[in-house]
Amino acid sequence: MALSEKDRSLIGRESAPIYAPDEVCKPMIRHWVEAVEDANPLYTDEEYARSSKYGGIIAPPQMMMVWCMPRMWPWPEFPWVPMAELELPGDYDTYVATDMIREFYLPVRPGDILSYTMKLDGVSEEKKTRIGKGHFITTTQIYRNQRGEIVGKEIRTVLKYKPET
Amino acid sequence: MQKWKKLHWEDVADGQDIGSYEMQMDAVKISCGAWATRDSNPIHHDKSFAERGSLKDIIVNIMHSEGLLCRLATDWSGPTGELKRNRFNIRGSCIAGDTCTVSGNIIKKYIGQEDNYMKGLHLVDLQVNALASGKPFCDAVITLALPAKVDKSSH
Repeated sequence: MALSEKDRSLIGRESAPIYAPDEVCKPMIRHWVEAVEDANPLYTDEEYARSSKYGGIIAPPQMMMVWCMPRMWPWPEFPWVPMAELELPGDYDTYVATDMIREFYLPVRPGDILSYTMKLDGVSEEKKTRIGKGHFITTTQIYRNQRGEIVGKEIRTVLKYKPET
Repeated sequence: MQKWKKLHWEDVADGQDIGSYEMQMDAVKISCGAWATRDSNPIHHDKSFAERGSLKDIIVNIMHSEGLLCRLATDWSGPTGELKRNRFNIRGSCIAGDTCTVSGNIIKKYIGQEDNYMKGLHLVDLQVNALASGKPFCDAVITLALPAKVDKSSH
């Protein structure tokens, strides 16, 4: 079954910016460092970080997504994203992430306020896979700081499918 | 100030091992990783929820998993190695009680040729793999930029 005209019209559309609830900060960096046991001094050693090319502490680049995770309370209203409106022919109710690419462009520092937009890059026609039939959906999340500079991107492909019984 | 490792691009070679480490992923560590990444999904905190979904116990979340892989890259390079790109895949789950082993090697070293943010940088692509008690957990191709030595014969 082909994609509907509505679904095809969603390809290329991008959401409005979704803001991080908090600014980038040293306590959250330290909590992340504890979980990963990452001794990189750029993240926690003030003296070392000052002497580095960054001139001060930076957040681990891979925390890019963490800053933008939503609040738990009060529960936020989720903004419109193109993926939420996809109709997709067929009876698909399960998601699995198949591929995730993250690119890091600029350092993220304590005090930065990050936001992201989500763009729907593409939706495949129905494919038969090892785990069931479904559609591959590719989205790009573009992360910016408070100056509007793009600090990084995440390109993600998920399979929305019906598990083979 | 402590002297930190500084690996130069010229001193590494294709295929080279980049070391490994182990972490015991008990339930507290898994929940810690989920909170540190602001993830309230009960699959990372609530054993009875995980069991209803046919898992034996809670599992490590994706952002924590990626952190575990990227850590090996910069442990190996020292803090002058810069994370540029990460292509990540999930292969299985790391469940409370599992031992997570992270290891890797250099796929290739090169100078960025494509017309993008990595152009002209001295790069290595690393294959980093994580196992959960010996079973596939996740892996990534991580692109790191390394400092290059001053070379009077070039430029």
